[in-house]
Amino acid sequence: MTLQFIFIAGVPFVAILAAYLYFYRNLRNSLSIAAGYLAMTITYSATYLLTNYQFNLNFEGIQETGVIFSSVIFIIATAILESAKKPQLSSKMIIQFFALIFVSSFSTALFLPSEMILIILSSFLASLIGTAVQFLMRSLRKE
Amino acid sequence: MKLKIPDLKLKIGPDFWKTILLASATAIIISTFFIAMPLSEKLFPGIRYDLKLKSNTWKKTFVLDAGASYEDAKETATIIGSRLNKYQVEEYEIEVYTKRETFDESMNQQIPSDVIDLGADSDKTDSEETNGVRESVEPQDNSDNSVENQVAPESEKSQDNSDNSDSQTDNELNDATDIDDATDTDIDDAADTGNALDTADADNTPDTDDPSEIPSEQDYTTTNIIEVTVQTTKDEYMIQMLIMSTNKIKIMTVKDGVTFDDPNNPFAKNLEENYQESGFDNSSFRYIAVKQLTNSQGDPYYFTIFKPIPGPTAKEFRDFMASTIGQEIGVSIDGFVKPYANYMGEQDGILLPLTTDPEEARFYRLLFNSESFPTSIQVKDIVEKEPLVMKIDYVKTTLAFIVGAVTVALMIYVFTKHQNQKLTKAFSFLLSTGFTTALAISFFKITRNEIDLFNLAIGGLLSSILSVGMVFTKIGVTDVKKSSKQGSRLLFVLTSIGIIVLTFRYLGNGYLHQFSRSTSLVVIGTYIISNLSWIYFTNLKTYFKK
Repeated sequence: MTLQFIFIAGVPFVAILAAYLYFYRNLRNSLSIAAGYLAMTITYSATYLLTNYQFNLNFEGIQETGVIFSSVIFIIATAILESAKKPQLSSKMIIQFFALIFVSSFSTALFLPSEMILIILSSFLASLIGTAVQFLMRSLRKE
Repeated sequence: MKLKIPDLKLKIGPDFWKTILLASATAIIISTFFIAMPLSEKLFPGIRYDLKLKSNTWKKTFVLDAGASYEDAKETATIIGSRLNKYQVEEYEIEVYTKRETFDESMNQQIPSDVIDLGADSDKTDSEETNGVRESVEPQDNSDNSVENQVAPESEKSQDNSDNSDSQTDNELNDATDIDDATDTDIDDAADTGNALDTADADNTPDTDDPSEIPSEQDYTTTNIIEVTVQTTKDEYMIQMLIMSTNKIKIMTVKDGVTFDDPNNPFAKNLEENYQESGFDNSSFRYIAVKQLTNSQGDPYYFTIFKPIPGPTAKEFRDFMASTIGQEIGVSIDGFVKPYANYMGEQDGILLPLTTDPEEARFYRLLFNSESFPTSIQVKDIVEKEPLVMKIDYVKTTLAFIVGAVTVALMIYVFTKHQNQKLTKAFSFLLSTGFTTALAISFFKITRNEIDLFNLAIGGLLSSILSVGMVFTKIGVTDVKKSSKQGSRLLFVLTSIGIIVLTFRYLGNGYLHQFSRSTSLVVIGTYIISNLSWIYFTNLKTYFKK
């Protein structure tokens, strides 16, 4: 279980960092990305465990796919943060982006089984927190 | 007579090709949406446009007796896990535990090995073809034994049938009831069961109050049990093979004095007892290839190629083949021998016909090249379970998806600052997310491929998220042309998603593997369609403005 978790959580982490360092060559920002990703993983793991114990979910294998889901959101959010010249601009863009994703995901998830709604909710929440941590780290560094 | 061909020079204006292209693109978009819409098969009664959903999910627990060594049982479980993983089984769980039971109990639960014929014979004599789906090899077929069927678990029935023809003995077995209960608490009942197997006389049942009848410590045997629970949509027979096949391959020669001429025993040439080992087994072959070649009739056919490891083994093998020229040799796979007439003499390998089915060929390639079990296993029980499948309402989900996409498009329209880009962004998003999903659904409808609704729903959501990123934040649309900074932003997104998807696709298992495969298509599809949508709408706008 531990090895499997390290693999599932570790692959997107390595992929994001490697791609970021290759295309942007910014070591300082990569630390913000690492912190954000860590916050995202912790949030997802917490909701994963909580939903498993609280709701007695039987779809453990499917829940792991939420990692891909949250990683994709986190990657796009990182690209948005990277594009904005000022933190204020990027924060506005990020809020709009997450608002759009929220509407898009949960309107579709309305008629999906409760387990899937929980997976989407966990992924959304985890990527939101991860992006927020990354944004804070970047802002603090600039100040 | 000279015919005068009228000069039909069309005046092609600058907008001619643009008009043709825009009209064609619009036609393709509209028809794709129509095909993808739920219940479209009712709109076009002549054509089958219904979505073929994966519905044959099954779940079973296989209880295997792996003998006395716990290490061997653990290794066997690892091999089974590796096989199931490579075959991309959606969900599986393997448990290994040690169980103590009396000799009589263990005898009572065993199934004779002949009912689980795991020979890799493509004819599959133990299976039946029903509507194109092969039924699995069941460990019993005792429909005539109604008394046993009332009480004894499935796995016990075949043992009872083959070993105890006496009906009185069968009745005694019924009294034994639940074996697990007997193991844990009711030792007396278990003792009764044992005696019932030993003798047909019901009066010989031992006195249950006699303490001497309670099994002593020496009477107990330790067995290691491997419990494999599988939930999948894949072929049941193949999954059983992966779990139960020891994959012991041996090249054998016919024993002296054995002939296969007896018409009453047509399967004599398939029995391992009629052969002797030649010394070549799994370890002699580096890789057992399964390749499509042409058979004697000129039709494509999959063959298994047993080619020895180059070096001394290959030389020994060539010598062996030269020494057995003109004789019949056999390839034993799990105790089932496939005869091979050695007319070629000295050669580098053995070529055996296998199947015409590519999926079956893929399966055997995986099985033959997996490790052999370190110990022999016996199937104690196969328990059918209710599979846990997510029930998704396709029609309602599609409608919710459409409503969600329209809402997001409106939000994009509101959020966009530049007046001239408002409509383009909103429409491009709508077209991008909608067309990507519609194209995928239409593809599955037209090709009649089976699809998992869970994968489709997640794929649709992912396409929607990516479309938001590509169109609204302009990560993917017209970026590369503008500046290298914007180009690297797009490449960063695509590369990181690509690495994740490819790693999970090739190293992940179960649903993760399946999902990553569909994600890769969604990412590529969304990126291409986002750009095309942007180009389409920009051109459409300028066309109508003229």
